[in-house]
Amino acid sequence: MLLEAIILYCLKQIDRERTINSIYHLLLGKPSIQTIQDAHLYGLERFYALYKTLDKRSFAEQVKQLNENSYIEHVSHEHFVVTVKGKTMLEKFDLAKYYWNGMKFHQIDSAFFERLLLFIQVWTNAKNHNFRYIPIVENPKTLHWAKRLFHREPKNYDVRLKQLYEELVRIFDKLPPIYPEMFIRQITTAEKIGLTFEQLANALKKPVSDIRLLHMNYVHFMLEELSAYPKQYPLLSSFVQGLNDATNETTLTNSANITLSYIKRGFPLAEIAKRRKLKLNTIYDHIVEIALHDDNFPIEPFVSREKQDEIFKAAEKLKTRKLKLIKEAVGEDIDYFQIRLALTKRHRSNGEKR
Amino acid sequence: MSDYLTKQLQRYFRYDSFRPGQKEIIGDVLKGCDVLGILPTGSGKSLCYQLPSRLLSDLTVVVSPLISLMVDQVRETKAFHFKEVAALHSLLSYEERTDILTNLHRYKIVYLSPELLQNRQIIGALKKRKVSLFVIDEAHCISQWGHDFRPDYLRLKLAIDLLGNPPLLALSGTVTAEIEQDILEQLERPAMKVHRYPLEQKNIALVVEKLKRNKTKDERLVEILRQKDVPTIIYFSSKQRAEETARLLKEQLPDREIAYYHGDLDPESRLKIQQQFLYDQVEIICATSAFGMGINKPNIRLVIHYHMPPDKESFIQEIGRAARDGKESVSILLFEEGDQQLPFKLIESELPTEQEIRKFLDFLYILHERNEPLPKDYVHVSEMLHIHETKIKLLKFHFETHGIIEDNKVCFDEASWKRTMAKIRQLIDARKRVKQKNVMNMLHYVHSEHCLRQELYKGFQRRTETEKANCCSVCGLSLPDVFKRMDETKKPKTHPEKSWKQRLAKLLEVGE
Repeated sequence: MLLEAIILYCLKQIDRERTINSIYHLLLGKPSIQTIQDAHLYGLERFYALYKTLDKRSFAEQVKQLNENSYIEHVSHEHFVVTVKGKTMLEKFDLAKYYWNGMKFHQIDSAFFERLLLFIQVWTNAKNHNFRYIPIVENPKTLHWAKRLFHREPKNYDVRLKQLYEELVRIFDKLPPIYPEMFIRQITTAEKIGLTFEQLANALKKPVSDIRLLHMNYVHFMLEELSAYPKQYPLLSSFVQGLNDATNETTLTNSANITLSYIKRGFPLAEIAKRRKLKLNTIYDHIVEIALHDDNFPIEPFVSREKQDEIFKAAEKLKTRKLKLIKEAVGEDIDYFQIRLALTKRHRSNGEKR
Repeated sequence: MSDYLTKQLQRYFRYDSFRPGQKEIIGDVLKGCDVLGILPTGSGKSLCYQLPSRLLSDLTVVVSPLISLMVDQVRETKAFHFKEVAALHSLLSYEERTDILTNLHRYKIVYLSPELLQNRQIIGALKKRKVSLFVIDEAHCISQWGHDFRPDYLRLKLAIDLLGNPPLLALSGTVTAEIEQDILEQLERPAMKVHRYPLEQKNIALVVEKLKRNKTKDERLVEILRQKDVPTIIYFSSKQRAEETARLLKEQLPDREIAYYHGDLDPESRLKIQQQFLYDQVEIICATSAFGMGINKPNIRLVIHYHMPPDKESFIQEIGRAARDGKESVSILLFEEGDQQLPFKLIESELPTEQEIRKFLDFLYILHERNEPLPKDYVHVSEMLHIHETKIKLLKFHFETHGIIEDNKVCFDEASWKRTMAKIRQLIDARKRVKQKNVMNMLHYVHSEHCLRQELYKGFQRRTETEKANCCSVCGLSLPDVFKRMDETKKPKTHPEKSWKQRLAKLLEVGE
């Protein structure tokens, strides 16, 4: 149900300017600059990479259901529009009350949760002097992290478990009870193995997709809370340390980073493309990516103030974010790259996120 | 020597004594002999190389046919604080593989899937590290007359030569005398020392139930499960049926914890469900044959076969997952008229048909004309030709052994192609006959009018020994009596009425 509502919301936002597949890529968190820029253009940042395990077939099935129930209808082969019935249905779901923030947390959410799960398994087993068990998390990085942490204070389990309990209570007290209920069933301790998403869905009598999205909701809430009040949660905050932070420059793709270093040294774009043996269009993609990442990155060297204004005006007038329509409405001296780059800026100056 | 070995066993694995066969096999391995060990599943086969690997100076290489089995074994070995183990297989990323290969000196045991033994880089790295012992797990896979022949296993001999002929240890759970001979021949080690131990597990009572028209398998299944609440595996030959039945059982038996398991589950769920079963959180597992390998749960009391397995070897392995703690357990095979058709149909669909062979040949001919190499990716070829991957693998293997494919290049010569075609047809027919015979043997078990135990272990061991009354449904076993003697699973008490805070405190073991 939640997944259906999210698809409806996204369709409403892109308003037939993008294909249905663009929503699939969004939920999956496809790392292409097109998908990331679209997320910004249509105010869908919070849904980026929200459902990393979504498979194409179930997505297609959801879309089919929405279509059969007349919540959406075809406008072309790959494009859908939300019907009046669909809009009414969407209003019933108050999506604004959820804490999802995929664009901000997609690089750390799974790793953070893995650390939390493994911490509980390792420390409760240590308390029982049990050292022969199979770790529930298989990611070697997480295992390595837990090992180092454990060897630093192998006898301190009582204090740490108490601390973890207190911090978890503090955080879950701010959420409706379904979330701690889920969490309790998901964790693996010395006594029991956590449930799979499917088992959890059976236990709580909800569809698996809802469970996954509710799971993301409380994980993102925790991450937001930890970044806002780190001092209140010293232990949980330490779980986030060392994980890639999405606001950090290092999360630019490696290739874009190299391009950035050339720009900083003053190379013209054509020269960078030549030296790096890349197409000029690839360098353009990098510039857009950098501009999306860094609010202070100056775009004026590539598209002047006047041209930016011309692009904004055309976009406002046509009420569109379709590059092709904007291109037809502006002067011939403005190219697609400049339109894309200017649009990253507009999104910023508006300051609206949702 | 013997005291020394026991001491090492205590030192490294904290066991007090060996299980039957282990000490004899390990003794011969440490003397540098080539050994074939035939031990029942669950009798600690892996210890036969794990302990030597601790005592030998260089590396122990273990070839294993299934990646999932390998991963389970590495996991379990690590849980025993034996961390110097790694697995090399095709699912690793390039970085992971390189990391293991450049750090081979860190490991004592490296598990390897057989296809990687063709990789020169890997052979080179292993040679540099020096191999003290070469272990072939599931050694019956090398025999074309066996139930589980894997073409990749025929390449082992070459790899062993390239590694400078280290001592061999071949291990299997189920090998008839015929296949034993074939293993020695394929490995070209006629002097190999064979250690054979009885496969029969006396604690497992054997029951075959033939259902009449008035009752379905599902109804009977529910009846049996209602009678006794014990850790149970139910085997199916189809993933879909396993899932459906799990759903049905959940409705009929709402107070039991039931899960399903098959190869399509994601790795995280697979690991969790295995572990839940070990922790007695899940009591009944509806599974395909993918479940159970590498799982050491001591107290499985009941193994039910909803579908008949395709051969006695698989059946013996699957029922052998019960009674690892030595306590009384039961195998029940449910059979209804018509069941015999499914395994025969599967055989037809597993082996390439005449038409498929021709299609593959046409494809090779086109490649030859265009002077193009054979794509390395099986999946790609499989999708292009609409022929199942395992069949492509088999065909490619045979064309390679007959020189039609060399280094992925197609060599054309009309006469030799014709000869090869005839040979391949013969081989496929022979393989088909082996499989059909295996199904027939399984059917003999189902329909046996004398002792099931004798029928089942015929060909694997000379004598069987069990008290008549507890032997099998032909010898007069009474299922209710056996059930009566079994302990029920102790269920952890749940307190759902407590608040989440109280439950969390209990789980994290902090007093509130």
